[in-house]
Order: sequence, then structure tokens, then C-alpha cells
Amino acid sequence: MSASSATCALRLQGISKVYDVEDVAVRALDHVDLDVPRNDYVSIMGASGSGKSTLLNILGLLDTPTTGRYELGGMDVSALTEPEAAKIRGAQIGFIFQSFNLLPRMDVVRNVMLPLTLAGMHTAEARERAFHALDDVGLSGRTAHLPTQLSGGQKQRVAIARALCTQPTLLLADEPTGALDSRTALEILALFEKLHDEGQTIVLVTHDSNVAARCRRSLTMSDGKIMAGHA
Amino acid sequence: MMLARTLGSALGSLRDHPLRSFLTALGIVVGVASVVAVIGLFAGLDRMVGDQFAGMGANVLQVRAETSIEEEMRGERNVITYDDYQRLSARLTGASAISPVFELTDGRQSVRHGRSELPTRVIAATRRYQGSGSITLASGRFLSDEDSHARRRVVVLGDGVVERLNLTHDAVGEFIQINNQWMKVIGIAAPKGRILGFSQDDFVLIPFETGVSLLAASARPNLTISLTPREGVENATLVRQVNALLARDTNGRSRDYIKVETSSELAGTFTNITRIGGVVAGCIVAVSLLVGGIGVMNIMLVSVTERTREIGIYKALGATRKQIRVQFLAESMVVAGSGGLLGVLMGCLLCLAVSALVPGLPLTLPPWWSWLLAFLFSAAVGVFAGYLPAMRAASVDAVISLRRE
Repeated sequence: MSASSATCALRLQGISKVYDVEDVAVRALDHVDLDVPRNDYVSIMGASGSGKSTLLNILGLLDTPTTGRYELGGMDVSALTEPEAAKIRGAQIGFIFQSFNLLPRMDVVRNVMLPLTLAGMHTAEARERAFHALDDVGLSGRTAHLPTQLSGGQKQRVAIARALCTQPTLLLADEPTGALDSRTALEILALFEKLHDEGQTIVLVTHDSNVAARCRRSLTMSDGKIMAGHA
Repeated sequence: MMLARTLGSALGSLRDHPLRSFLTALGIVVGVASVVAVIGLFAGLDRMVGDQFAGMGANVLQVRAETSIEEEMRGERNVITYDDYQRLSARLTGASAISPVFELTDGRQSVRHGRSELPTRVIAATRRYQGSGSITLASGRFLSDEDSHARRRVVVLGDGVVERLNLTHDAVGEFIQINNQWMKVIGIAAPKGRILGFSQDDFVLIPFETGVSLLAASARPNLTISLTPREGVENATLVRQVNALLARDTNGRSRDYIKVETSSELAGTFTNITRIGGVVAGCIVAVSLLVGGIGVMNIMLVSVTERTREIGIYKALGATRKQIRVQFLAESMVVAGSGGLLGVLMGCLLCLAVSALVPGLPLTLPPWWSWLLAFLFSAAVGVFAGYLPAMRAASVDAVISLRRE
């Protein structure tokens, strides 16, 4: 698949990642090429150790590639300094994790505000945007609750609101339905589809072929390479 | 704005573990409270000594002989003799009053009343000693010039002696024995308390000439002579006159051991002792603050390990290493700083409590600079204790920490 840089949310060219494990070079990613156009909704499947988590970490600027070029929104982000990467990660990338990763001591609205306050936004403005994001995911009535007072589905909605409140270029989801029962998982997937319909670019890592089937296209990884995909 | 947010966030983190935060801060609280209380108590002592010397009158000069440790080891003893006193009495023109004082011997004299017997200082003095010694009478009268001239066997008792001889405070007219000599009690001094732990009430005063008459022929009492300058005579002039009259002994040898000091100089010497004591004690106690700091560092390191996943989440949401570092440093400083504030409060209360319990010590609050110093030092301990944990937190790998369960 090919698209111009301008229409691509992200583009990977020859991305490799090699780890040194006890003096043995382990190649987690092997010359990966990938274009994700804006408003794409793509799943990445693969067995454990296939390299999908490494790919997600590189896409989220949590890790850097050993070789290759990574463009996010048309900008080369392959070799950023730590503060630059943190700034772009906070502004352009939204993370959704399998285990929600909410901070238990903060109430719902403070959890959602967190990426905004880390970016230096004024508290009142951050709070207003957090309320708005929570309203979008149907949780406007639970803003003062602690994460421990919420169900799994509600926690994941809070995590989605937190990821969306910065209006990111790219939404990265790592097994977002992995810790949910099937009914709640369907609700979350419906929410993802709604976001996609509204124009959000989503890259989702999953083991579940049913989840992958609901994405616009699905890629499979094996031995650090993208093996196959369908539109 | 950012500072307020960081401090607010740090306070929030500490509120999550109130007991742990309190116990962590406790080391700092104890350290700061000790420093502040010790400085405060020494300041109180300083004030007490100053007040005592102020009672003597700033314009009184004391002439005394000093014996160095080396001379004492050689068995030598420098004295101001009765002849010196007579020479000053006859020829010193700059002084309006000359008041000699000596202790009957260097050792303590045995004083007896009925079956009660105790060793105490027996001081031979003139009537002027009442002013220079700041003696207020609780009952009876003080020694007079007539008592001295007539060599009367009369005494004025210090308050401490009255109690220990089982006498009452209306014991005027009673008789006591000093070295088997009967003496009539003519006055009882009001209590004066203690200086540097030494009782100021443990004495018996007898008239100066009575004291001279009681001396053995071979005795060489060491006199201290108090001088009050005549009006218009500078202290320095009087000092020069005294030095000129007493500069050489009868054999023509130099007597550089004779010192002439004003009471304010004497007070200054004692004040210096208490100040140096305060600083030394403060420094020793400050070591406990460092121990408290190590406690803070230990807990902060544990906290970093416990919150590795949280740090990963922060990083995934856009936090930089610097923001993580500042957050942990702020938490350490808030622990140490609040411990410092609580410590200052506890130190002040401790100082007030101790000064209220110790007789003679004025009710003193530690000086403001000790509050500031202790608080700033505790904040510095917070930075020192938080630096290593903060660096460790900032270097946490987000990928690895997010994978942790």
C-alpha cells in the first residue's frame, strides 16, 4: 500500500529493531514498511514474539528504531531527543492499554486531564476538555469517581477519553478488549468504530481475530515482519 | 503555576500514604525539633547570664589574680594580697569605692548549726559587696562598716545554706559555727538561682576585717577587689592606675597576672561560652537531621520501585524525564519541608517546656534565625535525599515499566 506523506498519518520505511540480550542480537523488527493513511482503522495481529508490541512501542515513540525512518504526520520522528519525543507523544499520540493504566489515586476527571496538564495546559481549560471527552464516551456522570469504583468497560472508556482529550493524530490501542467480557468488548469496539467514523486514525494490536475483523484492514506479523494484510 | 501544580501533585502523592509519609517525616521532625530546642535553650541561658551580670552594674571593675594551668601544675598560685588592698585604699584616687572580697580559704569551710553541718563558701566582704554581688536581703540586715571595723562575729547567710542547715527564714538572731567560731546571723539573702548549673545561694558572708582576723598568720588569701570609678573618671584611666600601683611585687617582679575587668567584659566571656556551646550542641544535633534525611531517601527509593508502572504511564502520556525528576524531588522536599515546619513547632514547645521546668531559666522562644536555619536545612536535606530517587525515577524505561503487572 502506498500513499503520499501528506495523506499519511504515519509511514515506516525499513524499520528494524535489534536488542542485545546477553550478547546475542535479537531482531524484533526486520525491515518493516508500513503506510497508515489518515482515518485508517488498522489491526495488527500475530503470535507472541512476532514483534507487534515492539512495533506499537516504536509507533508510540516509547522506543526508537535501530535503523529505518518513521514519519508521523509528515514529520521525521526516527531520531528525536527524549524531551522532543515526550512532547510529540503527549500531543499527537493517544495510548489505550489492555489493563487501562489509570492512576488509582486520581478521580476520573483528573486521570483524563493528566496528558493536558503534563503539556502545561491551564487547569480550568484542561478540566473543561476532560469533561467534554468524558461526555463523548458516555461517562459524564462518573467524573468524580475513582477508577476502583468503575467497571472494566467504564475504566476502558475513561482510558479512551484520556487518549482522545489531546485530539491526537494517532490512536494506539494495545489489546483494548483483552480484559473485558464479550458484551463490554463489543461496546468498546462500537466506540472505536464511532471514532473512526468521526475521522480518527486508529492502530490496534490484538490476538482476537473477531476484533481484527471489525477493523477496516488487518495486518499479520511474524518474525518481525509484516506478512500479510487485507483492505 | 507549574510550581503550585507540582507541589499540589506532590502533596497528593503523600496524602495517599499518610502514615508512611508521617513516619518518613518523623526523622526530620525529631532532628529539627532537637536543633531548635537546643539553640533556644542556649539562648535562654545566654539571657540568664546576661541578666545576672547586668545586676552587678556595668560600671564596676574587678581586680583579680589569674593563675595559669602551667603555674598551678608547678604548685604556684598568684594572689592579690591584703597589702595590695591597703595600697589601693591609700593611693588609688580614681575610685569612689573599693570593696575587697576573699574566700576564707580556697577549700570549703565547715559551717554548723545544731546537728546540721555542711561545707560551703565563706566570703569575707565589705558592705559594698551587697551592690556588686547583687544581693537582696530576704530578712535582717547586711554587713556594715562598723561590723568590719569592730571585727564582729556576724554572718549573712545565702538562701541555700539556710535550707541545708535546717534553719527557717526568720533565723536572724540565731547562732551558727564556722570552724568552731560562733557567729550571729544578722541577715538572710534572697534566693538567686543558678548560673551554668552552679548554685548562687551557697555562701556565708562575714565582715572583711573579721575574715582577716580569722586567718592563720601564714595564710595568703587571694583577694578580689571591686572598684567603682569616681564620677568623670574613665574605666581605662582607673585600669591604668591599678596596673601602675600593682604592677610589681615587693621584690620588683612583674605581676602581669593581675587582671582588671569590667562586669560587662566578664558577662561577655560567659556569653561567648554559652554561644559557642549552643553552636557546638546545634551542630551535633544536626547530625540527627542527616540521619532523618537518609530515612527519607530510603522511603523515596522504595516509592520509585513501587510506582514504576505509574512512572511508565506518565511517560506514555507525554511526561519528560525532567518532569518526573522534578515530581519526585518535590515529594522529597515536601516531606522534609513539612517535617521541618512541624519540627520547628515541636522545638519551640520543647524549649518552652524545658525552660519552664528549669528553675532560674527565663521562658525563652528559640530565636527566629534558628527557625529559618532549621527549615532551610531540612529543605536542603529533602533535596539531598530526593536527588538519587528522582534520578532513578526519571531513568525508568517506559516500555519495561508498562509491561510490569
